[in-house]
Amino acid sequence: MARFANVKAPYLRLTDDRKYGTGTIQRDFMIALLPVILFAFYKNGVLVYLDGNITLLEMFYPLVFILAGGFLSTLLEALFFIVTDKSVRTMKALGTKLSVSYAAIPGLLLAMILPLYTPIWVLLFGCIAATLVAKMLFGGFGYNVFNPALIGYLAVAFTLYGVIQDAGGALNASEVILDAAGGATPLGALVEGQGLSYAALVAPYGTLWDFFLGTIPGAIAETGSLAILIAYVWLVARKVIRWYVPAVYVGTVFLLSWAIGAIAGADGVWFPLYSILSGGLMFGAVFMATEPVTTPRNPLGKIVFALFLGVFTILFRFVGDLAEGVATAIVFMNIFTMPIDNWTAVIRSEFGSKTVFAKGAGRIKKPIPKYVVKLIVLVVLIALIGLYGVLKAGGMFSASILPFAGRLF
Amino acid sequence: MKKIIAKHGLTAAVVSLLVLVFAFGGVYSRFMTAQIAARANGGTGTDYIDMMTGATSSEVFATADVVKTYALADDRGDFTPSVLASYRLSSDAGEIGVVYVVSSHGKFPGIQIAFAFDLATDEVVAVKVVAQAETPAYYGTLDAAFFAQFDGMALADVGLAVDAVAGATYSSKSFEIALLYAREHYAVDYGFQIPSIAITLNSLTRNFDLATFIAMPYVADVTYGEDDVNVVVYLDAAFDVAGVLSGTEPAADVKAAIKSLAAADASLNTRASFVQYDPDSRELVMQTKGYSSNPIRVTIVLNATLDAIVSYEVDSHETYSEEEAIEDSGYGGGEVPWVENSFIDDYRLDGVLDVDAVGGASYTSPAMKALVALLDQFLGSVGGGD
Repeated sequence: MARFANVKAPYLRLTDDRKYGTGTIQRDFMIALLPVILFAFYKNGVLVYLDGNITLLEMFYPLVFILAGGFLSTLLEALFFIVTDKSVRTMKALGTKLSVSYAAIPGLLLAMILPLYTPIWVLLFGCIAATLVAKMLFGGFGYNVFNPALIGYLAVAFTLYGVIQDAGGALNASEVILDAAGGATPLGALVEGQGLSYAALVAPYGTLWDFFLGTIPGAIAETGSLAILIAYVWLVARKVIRWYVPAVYVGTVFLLSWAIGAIAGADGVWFPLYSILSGGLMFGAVFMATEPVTTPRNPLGKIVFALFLGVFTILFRFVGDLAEGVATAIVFMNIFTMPIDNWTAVIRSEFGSKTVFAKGAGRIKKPIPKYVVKLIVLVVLIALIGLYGVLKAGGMFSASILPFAGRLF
Repeated sequence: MKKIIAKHGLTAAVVSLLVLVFAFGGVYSRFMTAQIAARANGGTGTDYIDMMTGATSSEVFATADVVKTYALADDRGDFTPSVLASYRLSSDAGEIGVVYVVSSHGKFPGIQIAFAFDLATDEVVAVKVVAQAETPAYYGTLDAAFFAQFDGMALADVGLAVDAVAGATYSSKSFEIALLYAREHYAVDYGFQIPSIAITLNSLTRNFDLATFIAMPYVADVTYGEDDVNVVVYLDAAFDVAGVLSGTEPAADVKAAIKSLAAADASLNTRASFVQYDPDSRELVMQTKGYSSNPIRVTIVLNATLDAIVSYEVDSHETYSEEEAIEDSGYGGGEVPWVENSFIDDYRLDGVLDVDAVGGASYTSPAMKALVALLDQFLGSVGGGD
């Protein structure tokens, strides 16, 4: 049902109010990144320095690396404007362009989800993929189809992973000493097939509380679930994101993981908690799955998008053995943003409407409303993918083979 | 010139900034990579020059291949340390010292300790912790006094040992393992003779003499020297010679050797121990080390003939839920001290311990088993047995 303001004209556009402009949204977004960046600096820099495992110079590297990401993407975008836009010939013109393009964000986000010892040239490569390819070549801010930071991340992860490992990998100097799981991050341990047990997946890194705080191996800034939660609360309070998108995404992964754990004999709540607190799920759910340009616009579309993200993350992580399940799921679902928006717009507008037939029309077979068909298709798709992922993953980890799971497909 | 700047100045500025950020970042990231690679392999040579006064340079060298195994504290099994890196330290006059960076095992594996030895005096001149992942609360108790004991420590000391800090036994023990292992390498690399005394530990048993068993829980029967001198001595909880039962009091180096042998002897149940005994009330306090850093304490009241338990009380800080999670098996019992009570109650039934372990309490079970076994020995010795 279309919604109309219950007042007379003229109407004030929200975007005319400075409080709700794009600039304000981006400012609030940057503020939200602060606790996560500070935690990354604390965990990979300050804490390791206090352990006595690095020097003062090494302590600042995580901060410098993240800022370098922001700088590189800004400079690359500036270069793009200079080369492609003849009107950009002065610093002022360039500054104006950059101020509405929010150039630093892809680079910042990319740097935050890369391993600590990523060489700077790899970061530059990722920034080129993120900023120039995924953002500017599609038309710049507001026109990109895919999440730029994730395109940069996937470009690096799928082509230069070995280079990053050789340069030092993801473990900081304190974690490399412990080396409890052979240099693997918690999610890496699962992907490497170390089994579905608390002893193999959680205990080498501490307790689930450590997972929540973020003092576990992982990318520079993705492990700090508590810091990300603080950012989430801020973004919801400032109305930058809708609260239900990350909630539905994380909730879906939690429920499906719980089901997989139940099938595989990992009783209790530790496995679903491990699933949502390891890898980049929390980070992706709050900062990537809520990105306004590349995700659906209407509320139902956002919920459907988040549900699909949840089931695909499970599928890619547990069945596909892909540690980058979150990034892949989000980029994959970016493709379907427009169809989801269109379908859910129809569902929202037609839901509950009744077809009125003229008198004397006789017995007419009432057609199934289109929105019902679309709704059923979406629900069935989500359910099927989710069910397949759960049964297949559960069968893979379980000693007792289910009668059909994992055998037919 | 002005035209060129006007036309290309902005481009040049942006490109220059890009190159600057890239270059600075590149140097920084290469530095970080070099540091982490070196750290994984025991540090870089320049890290250790300051360990020896007068050293001006260090040089990597390949140390001999030595395989030695050492027992970890509290019967946690054996550990084989490794040398991560070895450096010769030189001054203008020549080679003056050597540094061994050893990977040892405290509470957790991976503690890297560097020892610097003076070639002229065969003494330890410095110790440095390169990296560690010990429990901060316990590792933090290793204070200046602990590290000071290494200054001038003679490698020729037959009973070379490290005095542990109470509450940080595992971390302290890691230093001892590293030091002994470094000495083995020093012996092979530089022809140093590790001193030894011909000594045989004939037996190491528990002392159940009611008057002395708390202060001196062990009795060691040793034969030493070229003349096969025999002596039976009391040892305290740290295996230091505390008294002589028979024979002549041995010299200091023999005492040190007795301590080393007794500490390394794995035949005795040392996990559980006696804390206190009141002969008037016949109240015996025992303790054993389970999962928690606080030991399990059991206060037992014995009957008049000292051969049965009248009553007991357990003071335990165990957390079965954490043990269960680590072991990944179900725990179906009650709250703490259910496991502890189960072991003692089972023993009280007929004087025989039939319970081997409680599923899900894989740390508490062996601890209680050791305590009951020790109690059984005690009652068998001082009382009538069953």
